[in-house]
Amino acid sequence: MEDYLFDLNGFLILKDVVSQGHIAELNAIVDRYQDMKPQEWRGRIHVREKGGRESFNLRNICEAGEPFERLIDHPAWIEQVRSYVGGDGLCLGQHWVMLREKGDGGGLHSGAHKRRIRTQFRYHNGFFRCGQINILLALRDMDVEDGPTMVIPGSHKSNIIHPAFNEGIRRMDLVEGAIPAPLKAGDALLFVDALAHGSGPKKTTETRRIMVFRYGPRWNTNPYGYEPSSELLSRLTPERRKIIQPKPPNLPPEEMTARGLPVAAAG
Amino acid sequence: MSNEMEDYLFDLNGYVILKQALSEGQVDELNRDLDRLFAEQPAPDPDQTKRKGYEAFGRSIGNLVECGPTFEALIDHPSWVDHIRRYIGGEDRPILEGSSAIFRGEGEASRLHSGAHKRRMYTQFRYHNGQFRCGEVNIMIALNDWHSGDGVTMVVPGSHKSNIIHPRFGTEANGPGGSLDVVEGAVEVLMDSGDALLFVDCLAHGSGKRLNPGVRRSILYRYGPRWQTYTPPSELMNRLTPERQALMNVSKR
Repeated sequence: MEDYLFDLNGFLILKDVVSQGHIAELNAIVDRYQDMKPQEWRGRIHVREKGGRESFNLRNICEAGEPFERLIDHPAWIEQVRSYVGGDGLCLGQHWVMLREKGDGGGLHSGAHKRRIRTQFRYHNGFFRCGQINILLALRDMDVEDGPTMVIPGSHKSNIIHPAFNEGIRRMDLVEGAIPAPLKAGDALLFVDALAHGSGPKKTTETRRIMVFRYGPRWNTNPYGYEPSSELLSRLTPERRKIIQPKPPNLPPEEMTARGLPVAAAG
Repeated sequence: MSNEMEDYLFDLNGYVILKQALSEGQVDELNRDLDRLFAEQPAPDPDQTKRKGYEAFGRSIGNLVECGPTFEALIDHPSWVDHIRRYIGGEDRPILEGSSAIFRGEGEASRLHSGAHKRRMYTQFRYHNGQFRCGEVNIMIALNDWHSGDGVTMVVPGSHKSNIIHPRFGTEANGPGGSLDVVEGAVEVLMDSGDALLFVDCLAHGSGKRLNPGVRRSILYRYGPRWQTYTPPSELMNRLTPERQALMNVSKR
């Protein structure tokens, strides 16, 4: 049934998949970074935003500690993600925590009318071949007033651009066909990125916290040039390391040595 | 003519609702004529109730377009005829290939059927190079108000593009007397009298079971591309073997 509904709608809600104890550990880590400023680096955690809005993202969040590392191959979603990405291995190319404040919202974006390969939905000969599968894990309850993610079910197969794009409508609660996906802390939203989506305006005061993992096939890369630290790679299990870095760098020995990489790691 | 938003929603969901497609006067006329036609119908056609999937379907009258000018007026009704032309598409201009009235009473329903997993050309949804190319587009007209529990049409939005068969096929939902009440992803299409549901036939659909007293009244017109028009003369058909008849009679479903 989940495969049918994913093909039909482009998303699934995975209920109560991360324990409350684990959520508390994740939130305790986020508490330590919540005071970061625009464009600040703290270790490998980076805020890319240049300021102007109070909402921001903590990029490379798996660098922040083991509770996040545990989510890389979390049993609640990893096999589904593998199935929907298809046979080309798996890469977690982006991982961050999104902190959203009152008044902000995520505008309408994506949609299959683009036919963009990186985010594509495809099903052929009994196999899915999706370019990017996202896991949004709620770290706090996210009800309709809290600016939840909103999606247009079925738009991962749209042939036509939503008229709202051309009319300049970005507020998701004004977009025809969009529905909210409210989540409780510990629930996750799984969706293919070709789905037209965004989030509703946040009307409540407590900071909305969600973790975003973006998986793709192994040829996926981070669009901002972030690379995993050697500390993170050395901490990970072989299974998790292969998802964070499907292929280690393959460079001439002198360059490997200069970058502090083990020469034997090259394949 | 369909507008930009209707085109988007038809592509997205496989259906659109045309609000107030018929005037109150037109609905009254149609209801009056149907009351007469059903009163003249002696009893439900026993052959129909034996047809697989129609065991608890309700009462119906086929070839409705032959029953008078009120029904002829629906053939090219301005509320939908240009939508039909656009969604059938291109140079394959549409023809009316079926017309019926359906009255559904308490306990009756239309089982789960259709869905794009079949890749059936006759009912297909297709969009290519800026044009729709649908195999069959239906107009379902509500002749009274349709509330939840009235045995209303139910659809699985987006299933006109499904790659996978709905797991409820092969269960009671599409068995004799089945309904979509237990089908995940299915929604009731609630309409006011005079509204029309336009949908591509490969959308997985059927109806909920009517739980309320009374009767759901509706008219269904089916349109397809004109390449389904040839009707061989009866003299030729009478000479042919059943196998050859089956290949000649292109209007037979």
